Amino acid sequence: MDEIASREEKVRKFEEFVDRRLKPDLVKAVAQRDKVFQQQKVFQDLRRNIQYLEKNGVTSLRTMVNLGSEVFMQADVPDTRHIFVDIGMGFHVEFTWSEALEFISVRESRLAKQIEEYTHLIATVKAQIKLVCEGIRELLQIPAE
Amino acid sequence: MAEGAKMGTVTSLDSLFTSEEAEKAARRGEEAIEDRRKELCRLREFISDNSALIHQVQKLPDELSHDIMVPFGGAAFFPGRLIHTNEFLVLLGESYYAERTAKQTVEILQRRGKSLEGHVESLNKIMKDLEAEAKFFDSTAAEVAEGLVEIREEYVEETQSEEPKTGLSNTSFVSSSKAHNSLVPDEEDEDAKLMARLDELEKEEEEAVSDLDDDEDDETASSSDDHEVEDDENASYLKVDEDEDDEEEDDDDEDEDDENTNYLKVVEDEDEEEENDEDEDVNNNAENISETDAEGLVSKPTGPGTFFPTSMQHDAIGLLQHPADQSFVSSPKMQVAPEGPLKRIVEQPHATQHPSLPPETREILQKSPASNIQAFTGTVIEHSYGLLPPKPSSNDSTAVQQPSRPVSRFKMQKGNR
Repeated sequence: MDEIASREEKVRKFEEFVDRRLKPDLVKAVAQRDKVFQQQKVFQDLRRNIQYLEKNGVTSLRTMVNLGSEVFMQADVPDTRHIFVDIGMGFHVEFTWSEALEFISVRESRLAKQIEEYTHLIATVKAQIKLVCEGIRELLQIPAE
Repeated sequence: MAEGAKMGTVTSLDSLFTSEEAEKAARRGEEAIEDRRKELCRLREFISDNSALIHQVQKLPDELSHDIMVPFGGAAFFPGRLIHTNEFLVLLGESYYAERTAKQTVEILQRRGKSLEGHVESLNKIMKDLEAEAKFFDSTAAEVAEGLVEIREEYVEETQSEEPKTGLSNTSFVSSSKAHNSLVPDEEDEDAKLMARLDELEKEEEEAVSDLDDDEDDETASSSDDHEVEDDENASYLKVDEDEDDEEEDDDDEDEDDENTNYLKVVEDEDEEEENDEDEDVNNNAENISETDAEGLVSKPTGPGTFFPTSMQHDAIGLLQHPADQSFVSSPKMQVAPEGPLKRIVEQPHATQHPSLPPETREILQKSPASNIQAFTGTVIEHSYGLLPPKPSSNDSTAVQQPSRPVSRFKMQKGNR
């Protein structure tokens, strides 16, 4: 009887551990990775646009600026050769197209590395969850699937 | 007291609502209030953004063009100029845009602001209701903790000539309805008891106010010839002069002795008082109300008056099931209602109690948080779109927007909840 009671106690502890520590950890890691994904997407789009500008030799453009709540106003960019890119820490640097592209590729590789790290972290947490579940299964002596 | 010895029982509130449950209910109420408060915050932000935008739109046409930094995607800018400063493209929703001048845009934005404020108003009202509920739950929890005790007394039928004059205690008034509820001891029913208690306390307040409203009833009621016949039948039941009450008493005595409760005595007490004061008024009252109620009951269940508490409206629904007694109105304010129909009324609310609860309250009461077992109740959604090779997208538009369809910022923020 004692054994059964202690076994149930252990199972309960394992389940609690999974639910309270591991699963929230997993959620947090996934959320952080998603944020990095978003940033990566932004820079990818920027790169593509600059490449398009370069390819078509666009020097001036007409665009619509969002003033807030989707109220737009026409804007005119007379010279597109100088573009200010956000390099982080609240700074924007004036680049030419090629410089901008270079910077963006450096930035993108850094982001990719961060994503790698987060992916590893997520895989670790998942493995831990699986391990604990296996332990529970053993305790309950349910045949492994 | 004229009745003589009465059977009574004493139950402590503990047995009906455990303190845990009362606290749980109070907590749920508070959570709901928190949600509403956050929503309120967001709406206020929208309103302030909107007014800032109105200000900006009014200022821009002052110049032919403005020098600005034109954003290019999320992380880059071009130096440029704002031109055509009187032309604005406004999103109306569903990818429909309207090109307007500054003044027209300001009008659009002002209308938006008004609708936002309407939302804030309704949210405030909901919050007030929720707060009242939470306060009630809190007080119930406190009472239970104090060990408040409930006194239940059985109502004994009187002889014909006498109309009993009894003082009423709140608890016995409440206990009568509890007698019904105790038949089905469910978790849900216990929560319903809390609501029943709340409703009954509301009724008492209504009764207290009813004296003031009496005179107004005459003016508000409408009469028509068609209903005259019905009315006569109704009126005959409702006139205080005749001793209809007593006849009804006798008829229904055999059926439902137990159901007769002190609640009915309250009504009869008021009957007597009103009788002495304003016989005629009461008669008119009765007729008029009976007319409206007859109409109401025939046409819509929500007919009977706007001053009835919610539960009473649903009592009327229950009454529809007894067409024979359709003329009788479930209202303490009636002051002349005989016992018979009231018995049914007392029964009905507890059958219909659940549907009568506003959905939000029901939701709150019936939610069973697994707070004791701290299970993980979230979802883990993993996107891997970044790891796949990026899809080629068209580069025609230089203004790159994240969503595929332009959606108003407010909607986007709402969707991200």
